[in-house]
Amino acid sequence: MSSRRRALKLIPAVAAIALLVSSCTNSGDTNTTTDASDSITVAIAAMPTSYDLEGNWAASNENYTLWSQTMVGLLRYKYVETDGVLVQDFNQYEGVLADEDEPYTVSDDGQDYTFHLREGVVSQAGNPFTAQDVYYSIDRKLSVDGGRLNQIKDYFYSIDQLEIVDDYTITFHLDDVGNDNVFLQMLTGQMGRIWDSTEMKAHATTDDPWSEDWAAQNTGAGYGPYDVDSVTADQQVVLTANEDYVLGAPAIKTVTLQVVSDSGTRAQMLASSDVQIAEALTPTDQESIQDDENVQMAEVDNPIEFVDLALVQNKAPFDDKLVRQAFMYAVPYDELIEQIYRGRATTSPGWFTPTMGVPGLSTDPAYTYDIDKAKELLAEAGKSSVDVTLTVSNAIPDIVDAAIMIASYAKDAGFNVTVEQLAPAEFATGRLETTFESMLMSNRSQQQAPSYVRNFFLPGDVSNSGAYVPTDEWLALNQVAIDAGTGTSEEAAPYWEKVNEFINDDASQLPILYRQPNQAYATTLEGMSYRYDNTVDYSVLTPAGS
Amino acid sequence: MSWYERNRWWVLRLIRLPIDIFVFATLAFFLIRLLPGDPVAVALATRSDPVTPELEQTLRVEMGLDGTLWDQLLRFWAGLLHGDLGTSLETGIPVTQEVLSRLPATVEIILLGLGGAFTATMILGFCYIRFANDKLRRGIRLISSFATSVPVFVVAIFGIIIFYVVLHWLPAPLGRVASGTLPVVTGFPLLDEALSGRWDLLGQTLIRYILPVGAMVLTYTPNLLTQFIGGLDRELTQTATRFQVAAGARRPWIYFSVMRRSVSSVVVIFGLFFGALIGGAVVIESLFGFGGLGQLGVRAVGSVDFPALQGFLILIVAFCLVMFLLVDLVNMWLDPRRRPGVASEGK
Repeated sequence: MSSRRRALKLIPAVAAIALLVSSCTNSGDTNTTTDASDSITVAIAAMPTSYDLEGNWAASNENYTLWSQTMVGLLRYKYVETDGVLVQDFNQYEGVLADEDEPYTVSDDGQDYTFHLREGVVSQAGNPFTAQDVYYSIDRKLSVDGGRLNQIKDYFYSIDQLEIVDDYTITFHLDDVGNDNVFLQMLTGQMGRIWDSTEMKAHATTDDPWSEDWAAQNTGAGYGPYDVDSVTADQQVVLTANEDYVLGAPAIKTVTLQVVSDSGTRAQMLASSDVQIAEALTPTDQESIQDDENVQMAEVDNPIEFVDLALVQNKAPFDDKLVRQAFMYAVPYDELIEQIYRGRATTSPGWFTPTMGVPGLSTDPAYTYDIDKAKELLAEAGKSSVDVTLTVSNAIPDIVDAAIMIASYAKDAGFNVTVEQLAPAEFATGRLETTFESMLMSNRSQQQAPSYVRNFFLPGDVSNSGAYVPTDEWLALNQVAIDAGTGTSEEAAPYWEKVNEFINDDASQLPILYRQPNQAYATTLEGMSYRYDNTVDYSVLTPAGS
Repeated sequence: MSWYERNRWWVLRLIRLPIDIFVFATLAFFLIRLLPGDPVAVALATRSDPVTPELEQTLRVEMGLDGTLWDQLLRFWAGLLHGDLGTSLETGIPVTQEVLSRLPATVEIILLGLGGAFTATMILGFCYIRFANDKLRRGIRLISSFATSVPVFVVAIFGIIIFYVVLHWLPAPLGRVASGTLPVVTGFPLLDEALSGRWDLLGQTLIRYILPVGAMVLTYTPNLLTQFIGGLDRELTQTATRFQVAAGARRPWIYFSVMRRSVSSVVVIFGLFFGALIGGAVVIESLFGFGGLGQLGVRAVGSVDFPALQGFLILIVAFCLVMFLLVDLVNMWLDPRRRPGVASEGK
C-alpha cells in the first residue's frame, strides 16, 4: 500500500518535471524554414507508396515524383526557358545517359535506333554504367507484369530486337515502325528509366527475378539526381542529391517532402515560408496565395493537364452521337475556366495540343457553350429532355465543383444532370468497367505525339473511358496520317487536323479545358519547371540569385 | 477454494481473448469486401494499356483475390493462424510490419494525451475532496460539465490558429521534428530520440507535442472528471468511509481509499477512449502531420487495400481487447468486489 501511495504522490511531480523539461528545451525553433539555401521542404499531398512504376503499382502524383527524381533514362525532353519557367519541348531530345552531343542515330530506313552512351557514368550504388544496364532495363520492362511498353508493341516486342554493339553502343531494331514517333517519347517518358543491373540483380530471388519487391520500397539502383535518404512513415521522405549525377550535382542538396494532407494548409505554409514548394494545390488555394510576395507560380502557354469529359457510348443516353454533341454544347467552358479554375486554364482544341508540334494545327476550341445549338441537336435526336448521371471522384474538389457547374448550366439545354460523387476506388472501378453514363476527371497525356492519341480510343484500353469502338473511317484516317510523314511534318499535318475534327465531332471523350500547373514555389527559388508528368523537377532548381 | 476458482476471473478472460480476435477477424474479412470498388480495377486504372482478361486474372492471383470468397477466407484463416496478415496491395510491405511500425508512435501521443488527462483528473479529484472550499468545488464541477461538448480536433485547430498562425509561439504543424529524420529504435519517437542521444530532436518533438497533447488533455479531462467526482460524491458517504473516519484512520489514508474506490469508472472510460483513439487518432495525426495508424487506415480505405485494411482492423481490435482486459484486471485488482466468482458475490 505504501508503495502505491508513494506512486500517487509522484504523479504530479513527474508531470511538473515534464513541463519544465519541455519549456527548457530550445523553443526558438518556431520557424521550420531551413536556413541553408541548398535545402528545401516541399509540402506534398500524400506519401509515395512505391518507388518502382514498372510493376503494378499505383501511378500517383507522388509516386511519379519519386520515380522521376531517383531514376533517369537515356533521354529527356529539352528544357526551354519561357517567362521564368523551364518548359519541356516534346519534340527536342537531349541525352542524359546517352551522349550529350549525339545521343542517338537513326538508320536511313528509320528502323534502327542506335544509342551512344556516355562513358564514366556511375550509378547511385557506385557501379559503372554500360550497355548491359540498358539491355537489362529493357528486358525487365518487357518481362514484368505491367512493364507497359504496350504502346510500341507493334514494332518493338522482343528483347531479341535489342543489340549490344559494344559497352557504350546499343541498337534497337524496330520492326516496320513507319512514321510513328512514339518510340523516342516512350524512352524519354516514364517507361524509359534505366536500372543499374548490377545492383538490381543483387536483390533478385528465385521467386522475384526482377527484384520487384525490393525496387518497390528501395531506391539506389538508378542514375537519377536524387536518392531517398530516409523515410518517416506517413510523414516525410528526405531526398539527398546524387553528387555523381550525370548532368551535374543538383544545386539543392536536400529535399524534404513533407505530407500535409490539406491543400489549403499547404498553400498557407508556403505563404508563411514554412515550406518552399507546395504541390497539388486546388485552383482556389492557388488564387488565395498568388499575390503573396513570397510566392510564385508557373504559367505556361500550352499546358497538357486537362479536365476530361467522357460520354460513355455503350448505353443510353450517350449511345446517340447527336445527344453527345448536344451535351458538349451545354458545357459552360468559359465559366469553368473563370469560376472554378480562377483563370488558370485555357480553352481546349481537343486532343491535339500545340505541344505536339503539328504545324498549323487549329487551336480553336473544339466546342463552345451554345444552348440553342444544344437544343437543336437534341431535337434532331428526337428528344427535348434527357436524364444524365455525371460521375466524379470525390477526392478532387475542383472536379466536383466543375461537375456541379456543368449540371446547372446544362439544364437550360434540357439535360437533367445528377452529379454522382464516388470514393476514388469506386470511381476507378466504374471507369475501368465503363459502367457509368458519363464522367469528369483529371487527366494528362504523357506522350505528346499525335499518333499516341489513338491509345485513348483502343477497345479495352483503360484510357478509353468513352467506350469508343473504332470505326473503319477512324482507323483509315489515322493510317493515312501516319503514312503521310512524321507527326511534326508539313505533309502529315492536314491529315492530323482531320483526325482531330473526327474525334471532336464524335464527342465521346474530350479534354474540355487545359489547366495550368498546380504547384507554387517560394520566390527564394529559381528554376520552376513544367514537365510531361506534371512533377516538379528539383534537380533544376537553384537558390534565387545564385 | 481451489486455485482455479480463485483465479477464474482472469484465466477465463485470457482464454477468450484469441477467440474474440478470431471471430472479429472473420467479421472484418466480410465487412471489408462490402466496400465499393475492386482492388484489381484500382490497380489497373492508373495504367494506360489494354486490359485483357488474362492480365486481370494475373493481377487477381498476384493480389490473392482469386477463387471464391470461401477460398479467400480459408487462405485468410490459414494466414491468421500463422500470424501472417498478408502484404499491402499498395506498397508490397507485409501488413503486420505496416501496422506495428506505426503503432508505437500513435500509442505514444495517445498515452501522453490521455495520461495527461488522467493526471489532471486525479489532481482535481484530490482537490475536490481535500479542500472544503465551495468555490473551488464549484469550479471543478464546472470543468467536468464541459464533458463531450467539444471534439478534440476543434480544440486542436483552435490551438493551431492561436499559437501558430496568429502568435507564432509554436512551430508549424509539420511533423514531429523541424527537419531531419526521427531515429527508429523502439518506434516510440520520444524514447528513440532519448536512446539515440538526439536531445535536439527530443526538444523539438516535445514542443510539437504541446498542442496535440494539450488539446487531448483539455478535451478528455472533463470526461474523466465527471466519472471521478461522481464516484467521489458517492464513496464519501459510504459506510466504509464513515467507518474509517470513526475509527480515526489517518487523513491521507482515507483520501487514498476513497479515490481508489472511485477510480474504477475513470479507468473504464480511459480504456474506452484509448481504444477509440487508436483508430481515431487520424484527425490529430493529420492535423499535425504526424502520420501513424490512422493515416494507414485512411490510405487503405482510399485504395481498397484489402489486406492492409484487414490487418489494420484486426491488430487495432486485438490491441483494444487487450486494453479492455487490462482495464478490467486493473479494476478487479483495485476493487476485489468486482471479481466474478469471488465469495462476496455469494456464489
